Amino acid sequence: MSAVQLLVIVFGVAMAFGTYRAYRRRDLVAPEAALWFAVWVGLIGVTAFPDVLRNVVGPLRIARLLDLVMIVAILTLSTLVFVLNSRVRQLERRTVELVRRLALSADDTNGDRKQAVGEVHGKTGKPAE
Amino acid sequence: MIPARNEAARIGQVLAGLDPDVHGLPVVAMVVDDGSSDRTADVARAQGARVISHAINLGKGAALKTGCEAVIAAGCDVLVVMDADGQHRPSDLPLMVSPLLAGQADLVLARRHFTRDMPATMRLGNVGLSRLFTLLFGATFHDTQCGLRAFTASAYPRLDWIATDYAVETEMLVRAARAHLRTVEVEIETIYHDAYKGTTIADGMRILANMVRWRMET
Repeated sequence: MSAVQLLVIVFGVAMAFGTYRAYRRRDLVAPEAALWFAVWVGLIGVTAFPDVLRNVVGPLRIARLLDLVMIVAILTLSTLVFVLNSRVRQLERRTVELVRRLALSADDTNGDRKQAVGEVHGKTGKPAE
Repeated sequence: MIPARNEAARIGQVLAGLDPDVHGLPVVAMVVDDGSSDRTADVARAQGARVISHAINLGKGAALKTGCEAVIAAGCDVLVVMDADGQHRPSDLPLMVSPLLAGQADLVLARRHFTRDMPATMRLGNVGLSRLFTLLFGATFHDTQCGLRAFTASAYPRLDWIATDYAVETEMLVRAARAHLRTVEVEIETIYHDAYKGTTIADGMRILANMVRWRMET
């Protein structure tokens, strides 16, 4: 086993442990934790036993095993970036709406102001529609 | 209606310059404090303005939206939005409001003079974005980025923007053009202070990208 393989396995184990801690802290729900565990276990498995995938490389017409790993990694990262971007946008929209609603509801003089403006309009006349 | 962020030094002067009435109609000054870390809200209140505060900074578009909803809920029929940095003269309010009261327009846009008084990058950006707007949307507005605008409360639902940042001015015009709102441009004088805090080059690039996106949405 090469030093790079060992490094990747240590990385995979550390991330699996991180996933477990996130699950315990309830930052991840069970299906999410299971998905991430599958990713890390898959990474560790492929790194420790690369020959398992060599049979797949040929039929897919991919020259090297490393190329297959890179393709899968790029597809996975692209999907993650897309999902994260969507979530961030969604959270941003919700935050903006929440802050705006809080500001408007804190403006408790609204009712008084409406009355006040109405009274003044009554004196001076409303603007032309 | 004045969206403001960290404008304690200038907002008082802007509010003090507002007349209590325009063409016989009462002026209700509303400041939306967009997450300021200075005394903007206190200074505005001291000048008699109604103040709504965002707990965190959301951006000019979001502040304008909050303010518009508040003043319309308060029963105002005509809205004038202006910058808090003293760039616009409060004495231009009657000029802005006249076409609305006369029933000649739904939206009045201030048009600045693109002279050497305006910082060079700003001049280039403003002219460039205005020309691009005409190219993309077919409607001609000579100054798409000026923050001084007036519109009727009835026009607001058709202008109702999504942009939370400085793209709000452009989006407002895109919506106005699509809704066929009657628009009038009014020439104004502007005052540029040393510490300009408005639209940056990065904002300009974002506005440009948004314009292309809005065009593609049609």
